[in-house]
Amino acid sequence: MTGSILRLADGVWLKAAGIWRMVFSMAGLLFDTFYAAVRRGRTPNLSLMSQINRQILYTGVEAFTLVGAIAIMCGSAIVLVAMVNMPKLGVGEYFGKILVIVIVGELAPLVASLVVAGRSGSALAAYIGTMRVSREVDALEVMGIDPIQFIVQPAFVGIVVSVICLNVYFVTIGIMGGLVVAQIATGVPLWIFFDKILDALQFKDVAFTLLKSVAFGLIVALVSSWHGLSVRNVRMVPIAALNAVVGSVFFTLFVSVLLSLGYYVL
Amino acid sequence: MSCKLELSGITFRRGENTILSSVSLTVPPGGVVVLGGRSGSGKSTLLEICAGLLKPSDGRVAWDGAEVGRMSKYALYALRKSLGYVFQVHALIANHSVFDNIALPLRCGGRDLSGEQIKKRVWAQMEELGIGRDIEKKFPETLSAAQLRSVALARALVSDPKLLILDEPFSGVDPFTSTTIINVLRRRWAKSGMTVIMAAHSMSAWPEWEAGRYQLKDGRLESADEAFPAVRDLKYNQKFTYAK
Repeated sequence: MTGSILRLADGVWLKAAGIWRMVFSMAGLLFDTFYAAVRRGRTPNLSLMSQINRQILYTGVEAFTLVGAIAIMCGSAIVLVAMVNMPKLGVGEYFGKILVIVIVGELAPLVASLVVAGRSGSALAAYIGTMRVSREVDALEVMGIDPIQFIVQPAFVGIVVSVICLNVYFVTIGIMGGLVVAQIATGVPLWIFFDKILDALQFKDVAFTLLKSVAFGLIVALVSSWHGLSVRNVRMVPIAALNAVVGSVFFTLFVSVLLSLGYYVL
Repeated sequence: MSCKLELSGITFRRGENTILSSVSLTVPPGGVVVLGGRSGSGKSTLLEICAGLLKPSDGRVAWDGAEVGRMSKYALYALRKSLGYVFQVHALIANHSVFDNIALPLRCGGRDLSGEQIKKRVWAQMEELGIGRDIEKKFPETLSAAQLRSVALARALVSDPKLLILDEPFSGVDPFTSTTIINVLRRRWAKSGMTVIMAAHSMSAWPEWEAGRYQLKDGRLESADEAFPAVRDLKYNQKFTYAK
């Protein structure tokens, strides 16, 4: 019995130490990425813009349909539930505020980043991992090109820009789509509720949701790049893709809780 | 434009295995060295140590007296802008076209070249190696082994390197392409005087009067050409004759 407890404690300790090492190493990669951006200075890099454009295309533009569909479904459910139940509970006047908190503050940045983590985080980890295995990363190094500048930075910029755009897109489609569906279902003119939402929306709500988008985008890019760069052989490529999604989702939710705690409670 | 490469007491261990044991070699500026040895003898490892891709367990590598192991990451990147390296696998960037792959060292190398200048240099390099302009927009996965090898070599040569490292440049290549590659390499070497270090299964990959020959056996470097110093003197005379 004591032996089992000791083994369990040992396992937990090893796991915790592994997670700590991973977080520390990710912090190093984040620092290297920002430092490389500062160092870039006036050095021209004509390939950088095309890399960023490619990342935005794969991560942002190609996710529009999926995010739009999710936004309409989530928006409809939330608007309908709020529209029907809030007046019954005697809190109908808070309709706009509740929608702003739920959709703008929480759901939009979270869904946008989770979709990006699932679609592009895994793809990015597999892409970087494959580059390592096929020695493309080494080829960049021997040409005097910093792989962090060439691969990781464009991924960071592309993913952060994409998450911000998808967030704004989710809010627009979610609320508008939700109101249209609600109008069809209940017959109440949508402009009445739209006015309530606009009245409730403040600058700090917009700033908060954008802050979350930037933070979540950085997390997805960082976790995925780190797992991709950790690949040492072909067998590790699918594992890196899997871990990139799991890690991105975990850290995104964790940071989401922390940010919401800071914004609403503290 | 050449570089002196010094390896002294290089030992490399991977786990329990000692891959290289106290390897010392000096390649003079403009010198050519061909490394022979069986598969797995450590040729590629030694070349990667020369380029600073692998850190030796012991010993030092210096380019023109500058010790590679003591440099910061960014200083090493700056130094490598004068390096051309051809891997045993082609290592071309998969989502870049043939043209973009060859242009990469010019675009990202901190050289102030206009788009037009880059185009001219890339096309000249392609022509020199017999790479047709019809494949410049193709991606690496659509190329044959010989084309991949030629494009990888073009990428290494386009920036006029001081030091050229070639890892099995003729493997998987037809005799015609091999001849083209060796002719281009010798012409460029004679013109620019770059230092060349090459791993090859065949010691006749480079004419014996121009190159020093070494064999890696059991992790140790043995001279396969006892007359290397004398041959080296002859080589300098030959080089300029060849250039004319």
